[in-house]
Amino acid sequence: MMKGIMKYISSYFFLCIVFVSFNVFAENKDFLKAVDSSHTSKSFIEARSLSLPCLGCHGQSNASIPSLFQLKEDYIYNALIEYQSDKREHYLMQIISKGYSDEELKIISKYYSLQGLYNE
Amino acid sequence: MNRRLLLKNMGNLGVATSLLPFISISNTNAKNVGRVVVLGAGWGGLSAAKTIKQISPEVEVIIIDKNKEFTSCPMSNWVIGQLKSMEDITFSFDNLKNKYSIKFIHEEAINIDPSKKVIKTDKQELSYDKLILSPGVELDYSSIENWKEDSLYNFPAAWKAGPETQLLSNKVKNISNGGVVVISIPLGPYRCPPGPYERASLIASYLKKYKKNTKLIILDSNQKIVSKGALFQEAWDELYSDIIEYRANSGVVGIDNLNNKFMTDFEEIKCDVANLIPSQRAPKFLKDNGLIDKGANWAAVNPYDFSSSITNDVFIIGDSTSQSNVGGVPKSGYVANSMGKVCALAVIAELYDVEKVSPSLINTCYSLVSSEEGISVSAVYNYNKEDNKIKSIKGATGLSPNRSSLIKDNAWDWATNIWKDMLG
Repeated sequence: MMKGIMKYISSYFFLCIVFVSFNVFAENKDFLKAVDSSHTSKSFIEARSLSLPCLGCHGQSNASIPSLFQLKEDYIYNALIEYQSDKREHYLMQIISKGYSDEELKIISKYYSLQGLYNE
Repeated sequence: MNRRLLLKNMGNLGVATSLLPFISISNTNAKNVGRVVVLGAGWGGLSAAKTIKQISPEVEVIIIDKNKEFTSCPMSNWVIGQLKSMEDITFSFDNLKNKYSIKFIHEEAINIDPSKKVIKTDKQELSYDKLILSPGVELDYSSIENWKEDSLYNFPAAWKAGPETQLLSNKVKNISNGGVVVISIPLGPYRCPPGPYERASLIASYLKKYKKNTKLIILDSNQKIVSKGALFQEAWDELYSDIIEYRANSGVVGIDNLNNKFMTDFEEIKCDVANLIPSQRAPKFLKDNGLIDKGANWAAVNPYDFSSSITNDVFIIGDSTSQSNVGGVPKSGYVANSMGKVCALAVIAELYDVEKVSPSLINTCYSLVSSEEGISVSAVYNYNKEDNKIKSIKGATGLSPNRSSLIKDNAWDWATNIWKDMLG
């Protein structure tokens, strides 16, 4: 009995959330795309604040500076961590990566892994 | 109840919670959120305008600038060094108009009435909810003896990309064998600290290849090369030891219009091509509107969000901001781009009543030392609460270890990317 009620409440919640999310998506789909469902402690604006400056160099073209678009979160994060400890070679990224905490690098990696969708 | 399902639903709840501030943004203010007027379609102004429109298309954004197209200051030395043409560094505002619905008004701003929240141009009055000023720098010839308006033809600055860039480029191209080029560098702070040294390098690189027995004299008001000093010096010693003559502490104090001479406190120098880069300050418009502290040359801002520390609902970004307020960030294109983004997020936060976030900025500044090779300097900056300043983060600042052709490629690709970031 209890189980049944819980299931009902939980499904109701789920539907509500889907509805709200859909609404937001429809009104401003960009927001939804940029927010990670497993990471609710940092706000959307904070993710932008940390990530937008990278776009000065890393755009959509893959000439001598690689694009971050379409890259996987783990790939970006691991590369940044390796730059930070000078294990990965590139003098400029070794400098830039030291400007961020581990938490910040995770946020930036997450943000760019969503960029393929976001197309910013 | 399936524990996994519960967790999954909790996860979804998490999404909704994290979206709460934005749900209210979208639902309650879907229309008429406000009007942002941006003065200046340069690196700061365009970055701010586009960022606002990308995040919140419902905000009305209007840019005021006399110029009908964008000419890039960064990379304009490539034109002077005969590597690129003006067409390569000039772009239209069409994408911003058509893709982002940003309106452009090509008029001159006359004054601001902060009590009515109105900015007047020579043709109209525009009300604003938030005003972003990114007017760049004003060249100050007041300390140059004998300076007249028509001195510009013989002594171009070419420090704002445009007709003077083309003029100087032509003069370099047409210099005779045996000619002398002289570049005069002002005391800092000025726009683009390594810019004059990159320019010297690119002119020397051209002279070395195509002209015989030419000289390049650098008259620097500063005690030493202001930026990337060791890297420039090394390149000059190795590549141009018979062309470049660098003189520190040798500011130009006057000109001889008839004989095309620079005057310093010590000597007179005859020039075949003269490039007079004068002292710089924030434009008079900011001073006239009370946005600069008494006795100061640059605009007073709060470093957390680049709001004016004097007037409400006004933000000031880019080269015209005071380094003694902001902190030690250079007056570079990349920094103006980063400031524009910080300011855009702050403006959005104010319009939607969301808490502002601590600013984060990057600078990377590429310079060529020849037609083939480049060098760079980079730093990451954030806000230091104790000092109330933007500061570079320890360990996250540094130079390229040497010069290379890859860095030259990076420089052009950087420019292409950041132009697209602002205009694409």
